[in-house]
Amino acid sequence: MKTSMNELLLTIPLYDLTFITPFPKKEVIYEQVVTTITNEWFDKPTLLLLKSDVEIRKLNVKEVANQLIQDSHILAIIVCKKGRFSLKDETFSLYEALQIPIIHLTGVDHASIFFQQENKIQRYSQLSVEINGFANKGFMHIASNISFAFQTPMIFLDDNKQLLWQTGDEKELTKAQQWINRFVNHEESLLRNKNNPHSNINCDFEYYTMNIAGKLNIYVIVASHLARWQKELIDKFIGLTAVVFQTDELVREQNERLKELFVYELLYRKFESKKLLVKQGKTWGWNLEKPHHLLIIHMDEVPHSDLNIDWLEEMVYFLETGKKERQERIIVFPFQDQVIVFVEDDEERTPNERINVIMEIANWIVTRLSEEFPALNVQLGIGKWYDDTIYLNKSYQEAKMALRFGSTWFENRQIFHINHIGVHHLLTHVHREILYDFCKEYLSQLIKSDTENDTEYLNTLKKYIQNQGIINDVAKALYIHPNTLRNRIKKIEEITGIELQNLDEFMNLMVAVKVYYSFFHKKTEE
Amino acid sequence: MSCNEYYGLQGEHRRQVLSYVIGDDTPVHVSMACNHCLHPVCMYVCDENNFLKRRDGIVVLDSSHCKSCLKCVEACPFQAPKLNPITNRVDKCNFCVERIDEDLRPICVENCITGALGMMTIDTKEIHVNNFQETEIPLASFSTPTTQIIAKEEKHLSLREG
Repeated sequence: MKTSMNELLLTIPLYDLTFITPFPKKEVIYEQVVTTITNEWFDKPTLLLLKSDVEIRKLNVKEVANQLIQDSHILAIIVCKKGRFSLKDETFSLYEALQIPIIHLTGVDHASIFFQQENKIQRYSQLSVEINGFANKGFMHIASNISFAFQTPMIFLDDNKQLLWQTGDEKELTKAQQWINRFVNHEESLLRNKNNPHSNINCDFEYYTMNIAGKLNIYVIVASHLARWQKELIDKFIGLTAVVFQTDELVREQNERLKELFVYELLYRKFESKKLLVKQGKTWGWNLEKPHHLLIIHMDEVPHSDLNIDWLEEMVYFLETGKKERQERIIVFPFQDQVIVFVEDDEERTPNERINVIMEIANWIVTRLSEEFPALNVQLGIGKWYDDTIYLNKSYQEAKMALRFGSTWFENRQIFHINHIGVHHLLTHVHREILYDFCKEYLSQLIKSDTENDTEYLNTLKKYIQNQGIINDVAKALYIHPNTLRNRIKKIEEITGIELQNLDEFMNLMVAVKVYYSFFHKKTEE
Repeated sequence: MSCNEYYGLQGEHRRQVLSYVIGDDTPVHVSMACNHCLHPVCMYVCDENNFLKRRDGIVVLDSSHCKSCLKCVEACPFQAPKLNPITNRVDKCNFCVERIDEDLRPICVENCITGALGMMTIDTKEIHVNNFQETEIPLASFSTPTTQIIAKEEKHLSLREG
């Protein structure tokens, strides 16, 4: 009885098949299966199916190879062996030159398929096993082997037709790339080509589409001259690859969601169990056993022309790649329109040394980000260092406060450490009404004048304090002449009854101004 | 208050009505409890780390470890945390999280006879924009409260919601 080997190959899991030599397009139809190699010539179309090690070893004997390639009745050789199998270079050249297809079958149980008189095909019931084996072997490995066996390039393109991966003969790959440039980049032509096989467009290649999780498409370009069964096998390969990719994508998405939840818990609540925190951190490769500094990177405004760029992702990627130039262990991730950075620090240091260390790292981050993203105005808030990572949520709140007060008061700085915001930190602990009354006592007349007469007394005082009362610097910051400033200060002194040169009185006024700008000033008033 | 009744609170109120005079001597009354700030000062000042902010934005106090230092009571711009004289621990509005988790509205919203209190889901970006900037009520906004205060409509009848 005549049996088509090609049809049977389609029923064997792809991961169990390895093409040792190229496989011809022509259908292989055999009439008998022989399991041993003898000195005799075969009298009808034969499939040589070798199972024992002794018989398999014979394939590498030159004399045997010479005999086999001369026997016109030998159509193909199947090596059934669980482990590795390879041919010596000289025997491989012989089999390849005479186009004897040799296949290594690692799933030895499947060998029985070739003996069956009636095909008992189970293509789909073993799908889960096939997918698992496929994923373990890897699509690249299998694709390379198919490409070699069918003499076709395989090019994987993403949604934007950008190259993801390719395999195959270099010349064929170049040709395929040219085809992509001519046709895939003009989708209309491509569709016309696909829908109308008789069109005049060059049809050396064709493409398959993989849809991953209903979201993205991957295109696979292969030669179009293949036989029907070869196309079927490639179609099967594409289907399995898509399933594996989809599973990976779903797992990745799930992991992203879990990571998001973990990060939120880490920053907004105290973990009751340190063990759990460390264990969960390890899932993302973070070592949270050791204490960390926490920094928040905040972007003031995104340039309008670049709204479509995900700046957070860009920054995270940049810092992830840039951190290798430093010795510190740094964890970087985006969170709520900001970037969070953890810096491991378990060294014995004095509090001042610890602040200096993190300030130096913060400076490095700001410098590198400013160089890379000059259009972005980046600010950094740093919380206190705690000797236990369960307090990272406290550090996060402090870093946010440092950012908030720092950016309000120290307008020309980019890095704000909670320990450097001084009196602001103290003021957050004071009851709001007391602060409001204090502020009102010293500044009510100035506020009234600013509101009613458009004077700039409060801003003048703010700049005066920020520039340590140096007239030229204050005038420069306000874009006014020093004499104008002197006059304005005189008026402020008249209104408030406070002499700015009197340190005690000036201190009170300074606190009042800081309270006003930090707690009660509405930006719309500016 | 329904809140006191629901939780069996004695000697303290989680919600209070603040009265202000704005503009041309217009009286304004605002019913206020915890504003579940985007940047909660209570979380920042609590040495015991007893506050947490849920993913839905609700700031919850777990007072089981409270040592009554009263830092949060002093620091909150809205006087939301208060000392419970019975337990001698700080207590505050937790937005009825146990009801929220059962898909129910907070008890104050449920029982407000004029429908003045409501709850809605808002985007954090929207909070940044509104943030009490439009109101004339002298409330501190540095902690970015998430409560939205909407001015009373003229000639609006006080009818029970629903």
